[in-house]
Amino acid sequence: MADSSALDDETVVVVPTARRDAGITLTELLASFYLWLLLWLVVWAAVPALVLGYQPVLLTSGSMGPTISPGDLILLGDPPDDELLSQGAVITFPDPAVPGGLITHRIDGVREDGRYRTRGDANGAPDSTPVEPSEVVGVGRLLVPLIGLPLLWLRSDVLSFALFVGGTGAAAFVAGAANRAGVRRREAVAAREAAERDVPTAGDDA
Amino acid sequence: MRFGAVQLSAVLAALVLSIGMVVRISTTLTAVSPETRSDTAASAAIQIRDGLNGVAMFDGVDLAPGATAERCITIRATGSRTPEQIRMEAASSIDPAFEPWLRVQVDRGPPLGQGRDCDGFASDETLAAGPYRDVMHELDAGLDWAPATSPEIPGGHAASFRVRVTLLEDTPNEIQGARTTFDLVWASDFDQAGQSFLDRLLALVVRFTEDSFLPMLAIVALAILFLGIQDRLDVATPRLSKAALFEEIVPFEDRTSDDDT
Repeated sequence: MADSSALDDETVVVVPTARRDAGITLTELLASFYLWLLLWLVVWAAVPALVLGYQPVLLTSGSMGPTISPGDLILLGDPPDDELLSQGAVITFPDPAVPGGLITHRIDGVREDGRYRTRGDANGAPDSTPVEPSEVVGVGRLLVPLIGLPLLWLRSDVLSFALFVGGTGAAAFVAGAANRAGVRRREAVAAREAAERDVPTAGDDA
Repeated sequence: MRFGAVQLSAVLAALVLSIGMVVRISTTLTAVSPETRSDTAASAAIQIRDGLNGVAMFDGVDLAPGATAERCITIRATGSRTPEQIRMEAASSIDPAFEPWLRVQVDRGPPLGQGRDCDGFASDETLAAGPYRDVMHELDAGLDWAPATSPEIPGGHAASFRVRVTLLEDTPNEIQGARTTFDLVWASDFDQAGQSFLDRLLALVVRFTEDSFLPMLAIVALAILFLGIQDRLDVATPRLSKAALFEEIVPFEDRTSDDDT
């Protein structure tokens, strides 16, 4: 049977505040949720790259909008060796206008000469230069939204980057404080119950 | 690291939302662009594509009374699964004035290459033939094609379809200059029992998150509402927040056994 004296009113009032003892506040909950969402998105980006060897490419332009936005991270798989890709596949290939640059667009069709006709979803017309199948760097397999946005901000929008870092830091502080408070609360409860076990009750005296 | 129930719920809610975001947006990597999306029927593992890339088969064809026009289209099923059946249906929106004067014939044969020309087409089977209304009525019931039994070609299973349209010799002059359209639709239809659990789960998640983030946000909002109510209850009755968690039950049980001994 449980010792009923462990939950009496005198035990409860030793807790610093009822609010803190009650557990997590809504602000702490939102901060924790935000941090975990951020972490899970990083996991979604990192695990396929590490396990399956997918190549991550950060999208920096809006030519594939509205479905794919700047800041999204696309994970590329190897193109097939012996067959053509289908219409609709998103591929990354060298930018003919910028040496060393890459373009990520969608296959709009296959020409009679076997080359791909490509187009950005947001563009009204296909790209002017067809793509040889052998030029395809990778085929889009997975898309992790928003995760690369801080990198874009770091390049072009320092204020947004600072707000992101500050907001994430504040969320980490709030969530960390809540976590530490929870640990302290549990330790206090454990210590209190341990002390109660050592103190004889009135019933024992009688 | 020890988690309270509330913190664990936040972890799970964030995981669910991240899965929804990644899966939902990743489906756009294999979908066709918005303008031609209707030409593709996609499931979790099957995609059907036409060889004309969404261009109308009879675009620019002029028919005189007694003349016949024919066009071919190659339909290819690709993906990690071979569909048991691909269903061909009619989605008609023809001008009623045209209807009595058109004859239509649909044949299926081995796959051709790209383009609309029927050079080299060899009919294996006439699927439907006759007055336009009869053909469309027959197609309304759906004509099944089993790609699994078709010759396998690199990149998937395919077949070509030839559509012949004839304008009758005695078509009245009032029809001259009129234009009309009718649609043929190919859709995948495969045995649900043959799907793996992963296919079914993926299809469910895709369907759930296909239209917007709202369903996912609704789950998160409900979770936060639940946790908020729990928080208020804990504030009102601090004893509730002291209720023993699972791992704290163990020393409690041990203590009881000590008392018994």
